Amino acid sequence: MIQFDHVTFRYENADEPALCDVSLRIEEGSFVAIVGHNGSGKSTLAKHINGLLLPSSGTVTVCGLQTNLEENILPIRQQVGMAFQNPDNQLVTTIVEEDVAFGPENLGIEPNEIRSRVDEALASVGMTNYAEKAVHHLSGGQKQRIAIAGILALKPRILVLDEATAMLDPSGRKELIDTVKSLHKTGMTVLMVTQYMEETTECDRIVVMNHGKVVCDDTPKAVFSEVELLAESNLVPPETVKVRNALRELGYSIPDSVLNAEQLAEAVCPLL
Amino acid sequence: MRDITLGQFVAGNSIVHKLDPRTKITIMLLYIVMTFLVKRIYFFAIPLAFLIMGLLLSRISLKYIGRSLKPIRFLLVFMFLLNLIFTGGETVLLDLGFWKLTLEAILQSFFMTIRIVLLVAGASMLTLTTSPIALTDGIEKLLTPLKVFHFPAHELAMMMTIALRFIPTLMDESEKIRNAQMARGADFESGNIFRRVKSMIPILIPLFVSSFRKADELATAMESRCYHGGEGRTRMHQLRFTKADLFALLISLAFIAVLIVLLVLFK
Repeated sequence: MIQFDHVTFRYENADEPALCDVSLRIEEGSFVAIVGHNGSGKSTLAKHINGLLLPSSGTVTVCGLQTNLEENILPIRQQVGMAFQNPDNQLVTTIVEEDVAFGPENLGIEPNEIRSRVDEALASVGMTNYAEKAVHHLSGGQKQRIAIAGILALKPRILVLDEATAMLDPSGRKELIDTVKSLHKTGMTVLMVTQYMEETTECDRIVVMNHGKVVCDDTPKAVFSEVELLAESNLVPPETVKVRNALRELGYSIPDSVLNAEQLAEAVCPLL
Repeated sequence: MRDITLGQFVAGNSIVHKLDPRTKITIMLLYIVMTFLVKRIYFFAIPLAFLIMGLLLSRISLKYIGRSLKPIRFLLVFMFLLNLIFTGGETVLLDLGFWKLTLEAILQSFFMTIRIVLLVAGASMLTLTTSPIALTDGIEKLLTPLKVFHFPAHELAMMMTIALRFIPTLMDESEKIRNAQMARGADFESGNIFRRVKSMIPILIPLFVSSFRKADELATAMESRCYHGGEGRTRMHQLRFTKADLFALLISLAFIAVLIVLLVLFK
């Protein structure tokens, strides 16, 4: 569904390329986390998916369309919804439902169809009751859910979250992650760019980026076992994995499949 | 402070609230023409009657009109005095040697004051009964014919929409910066006016820089949501010109007609 072919990208005036010969394939319906510390190239990678950035060399193909062709940009952006970090800087209008309608309005869709899309999108993020509220009265988590609703109204097949949880408090973060998970269950392909490893335990796959390269691409189970590689990439594994690894060092045997608190509790109890 | 975006809009369900914003803007312009056509003080009765009619139909309380006049009270007093002092005339009521108070000057002072009060009260009727969003839509639609002359009607409306959206955000931001500067020992309260204006610089510059960053991020987000200018764009909320709108326009035109007839008859 998304295909990166030997993509290299260099920002203007930069010495090092931000992406360096990246090849990646993301299947339809998967839930993929892209992790890496600041400047690892993970956001640059995300911005290639909907053609906000175009590769200096190599190609990106989304749903069979190449991003470097001008006429493909609009269809690609309709397929790839992208949510950004700052909840305040991605809402365009004052009233919630007007903002959700912004995307479909850009596509020139009939007013009645927009109305039903807006209602549907607000319902699927659980914000129906806020339709006529002013956006500046909402919390950060609610604003991000509105941003997601605005994306859903475009009926995309892929949802990219570019550090969308970074500026939220823990409850807002949970709100957003729960929303995204439920969307994934309905068949949406989800790409989550983040530096919080806690958020990645339930993904199908984790892509670890460092210095513009993909250094590891595997299931959470496998990635969290690569203790040295994570440390090299300046990434902190989730607390549960840290506890698991510490216990292992003490000589207890705990399987790789232990990732979240529940699984850890189940694995630790018999040891007591 | 945070509600400033909604301007002075008072939500309501009256006939005036329900009128198409285009109609209200047009009526507003007709009303302005009306107040400027008046050449003698007693003819202000016509625009005044029109205003009162609007007020009654919209069920807007008089106190909101009073509130909109409050900021210009000093201007009104100043204008009144200026006209009183500098208008000449025949009918001298009081002679102080260096200055004469004339009947004409008193009439002229009242005339100018009433005109400004009527103008501001009428303008606030528009903003009191029309949400800023509807107002923006109305302006965009009314200016659309000017696109023939490459007038950027859509861009203008989009700028207004975004400005309305970001006023509360920037207010919050400036409050944060202010607190941050105060925590670093900045003093915003003491000193004369020049000192105090100068002390605003450490707030304005970071605010300016962050606005640019916001603009950049917003542009990226808008592009990601398929924004590509006004070309081929539709709207969810359609403006509808109803019978009520036609009726309202006809009434306004009737008022102007009556006024013109009166002006011609009593030259």
